[in-house]
Amino acid sequence: VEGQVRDAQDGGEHEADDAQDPRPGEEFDEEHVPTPDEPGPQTPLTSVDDFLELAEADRIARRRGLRVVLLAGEIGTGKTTALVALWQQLIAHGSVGVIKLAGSLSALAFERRAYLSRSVSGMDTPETERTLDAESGWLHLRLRSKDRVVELLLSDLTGEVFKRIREAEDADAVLPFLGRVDLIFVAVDGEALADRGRRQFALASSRRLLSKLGESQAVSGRCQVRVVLTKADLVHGNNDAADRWAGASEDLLARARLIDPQAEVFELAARPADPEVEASGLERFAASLVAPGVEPFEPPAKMAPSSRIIGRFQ
Amino acid sequence: MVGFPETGKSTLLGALWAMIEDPAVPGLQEEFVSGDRSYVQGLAEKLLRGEAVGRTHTDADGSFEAVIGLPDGESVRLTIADRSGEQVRELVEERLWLPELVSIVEAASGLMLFVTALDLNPGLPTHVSSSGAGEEASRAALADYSHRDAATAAKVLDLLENVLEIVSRSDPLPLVVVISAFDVVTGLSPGDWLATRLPALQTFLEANDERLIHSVFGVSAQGGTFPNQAEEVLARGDMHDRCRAWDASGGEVTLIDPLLWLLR
Repeated sequence: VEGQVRDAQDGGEHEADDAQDPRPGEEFDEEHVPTPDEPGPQTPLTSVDDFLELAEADRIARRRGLRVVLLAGEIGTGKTTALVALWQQLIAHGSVGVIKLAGSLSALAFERRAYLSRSVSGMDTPETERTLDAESGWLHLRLRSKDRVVELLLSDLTGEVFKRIREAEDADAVLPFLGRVDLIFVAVDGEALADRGRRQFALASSRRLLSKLGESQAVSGRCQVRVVLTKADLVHGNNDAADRWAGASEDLLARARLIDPQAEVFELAARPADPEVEASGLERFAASLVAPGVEPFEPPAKMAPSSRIIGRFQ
Repeated sequence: MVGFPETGKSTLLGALWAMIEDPAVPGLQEEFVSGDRSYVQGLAEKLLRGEAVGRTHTDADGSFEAVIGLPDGESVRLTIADRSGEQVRELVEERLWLPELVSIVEAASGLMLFVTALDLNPGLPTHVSSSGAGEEASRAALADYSHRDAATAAKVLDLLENVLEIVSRSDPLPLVVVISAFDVVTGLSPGDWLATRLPALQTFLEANDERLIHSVFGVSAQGGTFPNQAEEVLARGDMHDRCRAWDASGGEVTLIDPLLWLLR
């Protein structure tokens, strides 16, 4: 019998590949507190169930080439809602337009953010929890466009961060990773635009934020910029707001093109106020995330010391 | 064999064992079994009596090793680890990689990933129109969130991301998606079912074809629902007359075919 046996358990494919990344446990074991009845040392999980902190994001960055995406906008502009709507579409349909879901190391973090928009939460109306300062961080997403797989780190930062930049502080100081960002979305709050009392301030905030990002010495010359009108359904349901947006978008685009000559403006209604109306703009949002033009950061073949990599990330 | 609780892992194992032990069934034949076969024997006997096998306890030893004769005349030493779905649930929902599960996954030369046609959380969005619930209501609702509420596709993706990280091999890992209780599905092939019910898993598998080579099967290892349809199922005859399986396109195959695909 032994002479005939083809050993399915040992197909000769299990040799460790020394050239590959270190196992997760070798670099990420400080968080786990073993329970008393746990036998032996614990293997840390690769995925995370909440936001990624910078060091964890760096751990991913050093493993694979990826694009770092900054969603910029003040409180309530709909940054997290856009991410949740994108995730919901990807989970429900596997794709958004021609862009397909290829994985995520923070699937459960997306799920937590999506919870309030789900019927299982018991909420009557879809909601998105406002991102608090302590909850700010990064989400990982892997998308496939045709034959290209793109790894993404998406910021989910509280709007307070961008308020600080608008009011006084340098973008470089508030966002120490700015030099590593490949793509910036500047969100313009359509709900505020539809409100005469908030319109002027909302546009001024967006202009100011774009200017501050443009003044930054850290922003890479290869960084792409997209200006996004969020909650666009509210603007187009209001003639006055739509006219104002038509003029303002030209001005915002001109400012964005000082950073990225190929900058674009588009509109997003990730979760329309009228539940009978379908979301729009998500395909454009997803396409922007994977759009070629910026070569993803490729980590060196041999692992560099962690401190060097973090410095490079920052 | 990996999957969340009650996705049909032990049922398939019991049915397979009953068929391996049946000389009338062409395909796999038992040549040698090492160690204690009482676990798989017990599963098979329950199924043969028309009883559901129930959940596997976390500490149950659901492994067995055997040398099995293949239809082409060759033999293969097979180690099947039927780990409790609770271990997978703990991995995803409690964020705990149990060392035993890690060892099994590290050593695996193929995976059977179980999902059930009976119980899916599609993560449906709420569509009721009303005024906003407000921040207080949102926070109260969010306090109730746990990972058990996550969409099935998201949990399976999280499982696979962790599994792939610890599998050390240069070639793609063979993975069979086994859709259990497929007898309840009408009008869809297993491939269509995956595309419509768990499309995110399908796109994940397609996009990661450098790391995973996959196939999809639907199985009905019990042959019906126990205890409600037990009499009807028993009346069909021996195990190989009761069980059914379908390949991705819906063509009828034997219950052994998912395993044969992994061993090819």
